[in-house]
Amino acid sequence: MGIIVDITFDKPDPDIAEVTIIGTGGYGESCVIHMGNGEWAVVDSCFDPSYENCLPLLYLKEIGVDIKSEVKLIVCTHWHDDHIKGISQLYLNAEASEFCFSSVVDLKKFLQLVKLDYTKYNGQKISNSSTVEFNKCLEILEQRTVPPKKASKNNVLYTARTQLSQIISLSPSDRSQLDFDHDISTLINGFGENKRIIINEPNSTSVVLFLKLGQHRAILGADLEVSGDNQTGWLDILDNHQNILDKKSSLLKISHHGSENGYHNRIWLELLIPNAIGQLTPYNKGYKLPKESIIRKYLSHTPDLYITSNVTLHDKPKTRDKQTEKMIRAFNTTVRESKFYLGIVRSRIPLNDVNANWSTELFGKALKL
Amino acid sequence: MKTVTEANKSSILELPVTKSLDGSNLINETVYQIISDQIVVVQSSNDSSKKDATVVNDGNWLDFDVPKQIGLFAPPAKKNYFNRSQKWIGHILRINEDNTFSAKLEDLNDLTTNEYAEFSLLEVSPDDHELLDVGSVFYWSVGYENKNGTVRKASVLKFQRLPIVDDAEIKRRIALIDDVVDNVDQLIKKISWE
Repeated sequence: MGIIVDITFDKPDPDIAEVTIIGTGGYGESCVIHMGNGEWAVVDSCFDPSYENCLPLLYLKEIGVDIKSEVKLIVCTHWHDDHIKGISQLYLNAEASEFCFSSVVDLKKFLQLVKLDYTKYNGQKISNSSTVEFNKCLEILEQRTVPPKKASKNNVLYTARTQLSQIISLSPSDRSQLDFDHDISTLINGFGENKRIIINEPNSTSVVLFLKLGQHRAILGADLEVSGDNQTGWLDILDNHQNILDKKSSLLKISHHGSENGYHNRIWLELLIPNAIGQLTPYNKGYKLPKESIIRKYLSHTPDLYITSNVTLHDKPKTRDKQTEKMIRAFNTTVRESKFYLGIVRSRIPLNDVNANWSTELFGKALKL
Repeated sequence: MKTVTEANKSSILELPVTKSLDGSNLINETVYQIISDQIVVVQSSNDSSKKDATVVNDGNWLDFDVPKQIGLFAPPAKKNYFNRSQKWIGHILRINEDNTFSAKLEDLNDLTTNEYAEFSLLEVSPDDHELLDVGSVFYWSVGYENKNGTVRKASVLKFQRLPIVDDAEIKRRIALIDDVVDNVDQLIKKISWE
């Protein structure tokens, strides 16, 4: 079964860069990158909740990528439910891949938190599913006895064989790592077997990536936000990028589902060329993102704004037998299903043609705003 | 009709008879007997003063008393029960200012897509209020409740509690932490940062 029924995806030529974003409407998002010459990277993961299959893995298989040898880097941008479902499946298959996650001040303490939370899992739903996925990746790391790659400010994560392409992390900042370290201590102290672990500020440790793809540049914003502190979040990147960003980017994977906090005018003015392409995934759980007002802001910067599915808040529970549906309505009219909407935004550009523009195609529920 | 005599008594099939639980009355049961090649209907007596096998033959009826026996199939007593239509496991995402909380729900009958909902704090038992916190796990069930014979729709929210903290529980937790620490000490030797 293909990733999308009745659609056949093709593999890009060796000299074509690709940045493809896969969105699910609430079950994760993932970015698949072709750096050229059959070298691939995958950022985060998502899955179809009905089949629990890793969608970036399915996509890569479908276009004929040799997962075992051609996937070189997997990046887990942050430890949050909607970003890494299925990532362990991918990592297991990508035997030649390095595994990268956000740097933490005290790795041991972070691992203790992950392992503690994992003890609650015994097929139970009590555990944070991110913990389960992450723990599986740790087990793979342990078996392969390879060190993980640390994503932090201005760190080169991967350089392609041809030296034409690179992936560089721009965050988290030192200050964000310290704050997260404090959070981890608090969570360990407050550990309870009857509670899910909820990180207070998960997005502050989110990993933003700068992609050098031949002559072109792209930024993947993950879920990083603008905070009031210029030593964290986007402000830290904006104030300290000069030595690392050699060129402005022509593509931006917009951060945090197009939220207000994921936007800053300076991102568009200082980091991107005019009319750079924008890609984003919506948020449809409890409240909707992006809002109309922010869409208008983005459209003031570029006419090429793409989203993996419409921003809809499905306002009904799951479909069940009539009696049960009636029963649920009798007690709670706010129950609503987070539906699975698969959409793919695929952008490609010739690596070596400095004058080329991105060519973007839409699949599934994806649309142009 | 035939007379029950010592000679043909062996062919009489004695069938169990039930009675009321308090032993007060014999249930007036019709007992079928096969006597030779005939099926003869006889009636047991409700007169508890008569003891077993008193046979009265008036030429038309064989009439005998069935001794008191323990009822084998007493009617079921009314029980309280909850017939669940749907159950979820949820966890609190946010406690709102309007005395509600927002939660993510996972359908225990169908572990595919998730649901989200708001609940009033009034739906939470007073005993569970201390458990209200972001991340707290609860079970939500809706169904039919039968209480003393009255059936009505019901919604039950129950928060997950930790086991009672006794010496055994403390030991268990210490062992758990020790395991985790040991596990991580081994793990960190193999997977330190590049």
